Amino acid sequence: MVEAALAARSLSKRFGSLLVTDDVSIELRAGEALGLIGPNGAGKSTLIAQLAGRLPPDSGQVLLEGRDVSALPAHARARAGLVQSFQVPSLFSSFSTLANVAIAAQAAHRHSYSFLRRADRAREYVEPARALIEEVGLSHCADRNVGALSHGERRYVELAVALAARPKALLLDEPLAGLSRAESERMIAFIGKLKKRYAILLVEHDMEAVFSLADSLCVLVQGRIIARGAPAALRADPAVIEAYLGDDASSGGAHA
Amino acid sequence: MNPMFRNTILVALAAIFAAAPWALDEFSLNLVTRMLIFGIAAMGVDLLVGFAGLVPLGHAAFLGLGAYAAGILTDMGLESAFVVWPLAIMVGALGAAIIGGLSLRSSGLYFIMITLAFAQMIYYVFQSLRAYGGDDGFALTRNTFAGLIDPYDSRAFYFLTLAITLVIFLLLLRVVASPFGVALRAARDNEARLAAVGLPAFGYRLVAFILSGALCAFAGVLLANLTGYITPGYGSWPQSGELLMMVLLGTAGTIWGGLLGAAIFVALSEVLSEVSDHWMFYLGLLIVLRVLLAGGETTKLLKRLDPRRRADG
Repeated sequence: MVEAALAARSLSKRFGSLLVTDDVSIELRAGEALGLIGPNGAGKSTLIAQLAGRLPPDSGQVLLEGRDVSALPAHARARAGLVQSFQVPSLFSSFSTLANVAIAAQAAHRHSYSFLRRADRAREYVEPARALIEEVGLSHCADRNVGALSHGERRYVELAVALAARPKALLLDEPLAGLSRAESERMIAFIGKLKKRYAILLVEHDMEAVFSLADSLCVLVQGRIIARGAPAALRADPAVIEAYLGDDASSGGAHA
Repeated sequence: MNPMFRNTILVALAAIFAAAPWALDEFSLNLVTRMLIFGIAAMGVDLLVGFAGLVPLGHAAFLGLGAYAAGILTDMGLESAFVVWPLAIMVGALGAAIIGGLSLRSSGLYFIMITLAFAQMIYYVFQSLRAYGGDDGFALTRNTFAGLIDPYDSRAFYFLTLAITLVIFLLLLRVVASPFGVALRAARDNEARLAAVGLPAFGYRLVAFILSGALCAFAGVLLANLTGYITPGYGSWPQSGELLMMVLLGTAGTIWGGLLGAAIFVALSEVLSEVSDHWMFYLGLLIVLRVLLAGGETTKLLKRLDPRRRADG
């Protein structure tokens, strides 16, 4: 059996009396996308935060390529290849588009304790950054401050920053949120291409996108995975329909 | 700025600084030396304020540590600047490593208060050093340079300070544009995201804190040699505040702003104190005006002090 690129084993997290993550186990394989869906407040972002190391779970383990990374802080997990993109674009506000991506490429190197060379002339940071910016179609605003970009453009920068950190497993937290119809379609096509290179956990409200991108699905409701399996099978699962799709599938497109 | 204009300014500045020792009397020349010395300290503080987004209210402690270390080592019989100065700067750096290592676990207003608290502790240690004059401080025999420079020659000391200032200025310009400098600014903008791509902010901030502490210690050493006298006042909290004012007056986040701000501050405090006993009032007024006029930057700075904003970046 092939080792899972990323696995969570029995993660649980409580906020006071509220169980936000309830014995969640998932597995991601290289070249596959696992969709994670669930109503608002189901604990999707909380789960991502625990996988990425921003929030310590009360119990359970996170394994990256079979290695237990549960004890590692966020930056060490990122360096090991467990990288997330954020639901709300989280960028370096005083930096240009290029510098935003270049700092992530810089972070992928061992350290940044280099004091006398110019970072903006360091090829090993700038070239991969330029290539990624071209790939997401933002070459025309490489030198613009990210504050001057549109929300859609910032979403693409957000993704480019995550990719520049050289992920093995990529956690995408609602990459389509707030995008226009056309932007969404382009993003879906782009994520489709990324699937070949990384193991992807895709949290998304846009049902069309999830059903077209994900190889398998997990349905999270009140912190628990209530169903998992192939997208087509889940569409017909009565429990899923009741808990989630029932009141969301009809309006699923409205989120896009 | 077009290169022609910039070069003209640089040549003019070089000419002014080269001619200063012959154009000025000894008192005024020492005043210019003083501007340069405080410029070194303010550039160090700017590394934290302008690039790391951290506001320390205790950097005078390192000025004092440098001065006291130099004074005590000299008193113990070490005379050569080549020995005393590096040691004194290392004392400042070590102090900064300890204080920075502890203070950087906090942020925003807490960081300000903790750096202030540490500086006050060091200040009271200076005051309690009976063997070194307690409250009154003590005189320092100027350090020697193996006969290369006469430490009592104001012109020689001025040129020495000018050279040191220039080297530090140019080095700092490189440092802030280096991968280290970029990491430092990225941590200021969005610490959580920097961690999410694999870089922890703490180490970069600590190194910046140590560098800025070492620069303030260097300034303390130079100041002690310029004045020939060391008092606990070097490490007082008003002195820490003045270092911050210099950075704000000159424009934070530029490095050159530290030099400019120190020059303005030293000049104004000299001129205004001639004119009026209430010179601090007028200085305060000027700083208020400066802050209001450069609202954009200052607002950004104040926003950075809000821990909530730092948390979610």
